[in-house]
Amino acid sequence: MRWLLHPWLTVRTQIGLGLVFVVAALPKIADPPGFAKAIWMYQLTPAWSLHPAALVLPWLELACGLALCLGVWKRAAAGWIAALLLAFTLALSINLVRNHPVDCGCFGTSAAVKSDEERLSDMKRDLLRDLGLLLLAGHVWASGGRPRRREARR
Amino acid sequence: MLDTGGMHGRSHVLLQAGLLLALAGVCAVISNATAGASRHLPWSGRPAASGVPGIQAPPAPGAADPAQPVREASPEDAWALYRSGAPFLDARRSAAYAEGHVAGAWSLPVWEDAIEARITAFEALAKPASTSPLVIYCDGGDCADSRLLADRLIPLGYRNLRLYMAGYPDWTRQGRPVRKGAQR
Repeated sequence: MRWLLHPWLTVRTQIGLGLVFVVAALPKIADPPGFAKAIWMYQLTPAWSLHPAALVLPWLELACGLALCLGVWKRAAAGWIAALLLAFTLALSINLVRNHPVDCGCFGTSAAVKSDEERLSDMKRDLLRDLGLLLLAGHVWASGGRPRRREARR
Repeated sequence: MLDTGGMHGRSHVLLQAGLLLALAGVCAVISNATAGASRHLPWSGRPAASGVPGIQAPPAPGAADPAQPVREASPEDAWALYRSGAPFLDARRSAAYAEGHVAGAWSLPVWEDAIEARITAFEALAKPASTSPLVIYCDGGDCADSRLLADRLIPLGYRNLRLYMAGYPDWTRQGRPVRKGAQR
């Protein structure tokens, strides 16, 4: 399992995850009302938190994504990303369980009008994607705090 | 030698996490303060929960029913109301309105900060009576924007709101009159 923490792999995972979050953040930053509507559709957030979440979360995604791409504050960024992914996963799961189709809103709002069946199918796919990204965030977290030690030459 | 780790390392990560959140907050404040009307979002306030109670099937197109201020309009009802000159209110985002809307419809994008000003302008220019039918539409399907706009109009005294649930996709499918361009 040592190869999992090899710098060649960890750097690529970190940059890949960072890029995903940068790409996900930009459309939401460009359209806060659209993202507020996407969050509202989940019917999970308290009223007072809806607009602040729609305004701040995309910037947090961007900040964490850039931090990972640049290789700074890796554990903090990976921690936030893991927390966000857990929240998204939970929100999708709850709505899947109650058979309430929603647009993910993960990469901005979609203009396409979809049927309930298409939405539910997309939600399952989004759930799998979020779980995959969560694994990557865990990988970055595990590698981010690893002390850089050189094997002592004995 | 292994580096410090432990408590010191954890507090360092927490500090960095706090700084990332603070940075995001500052960026959000600046971005929102400089955003145009269609992008701006108030920090507090949100559309009321889509609690338009009991949307009923209409007894007759156009007629007001004080007991049912919000009723559904079938595609046929919507067309009849359009031909009778009833105002159409487009609850979708202003960008969607600009791409195409019911000819003559008013843009009242319920998710945009300019909604209050648009409602005021609509009332000033169209001068609708509280019992005259107002047809509200959005993207059809389970689009909730029409209901949210109805939620905003009920407290203003309107008692004959007609939700055209099939919405703009149905309107275009039926070949009804449409226009492109930003709101008037």
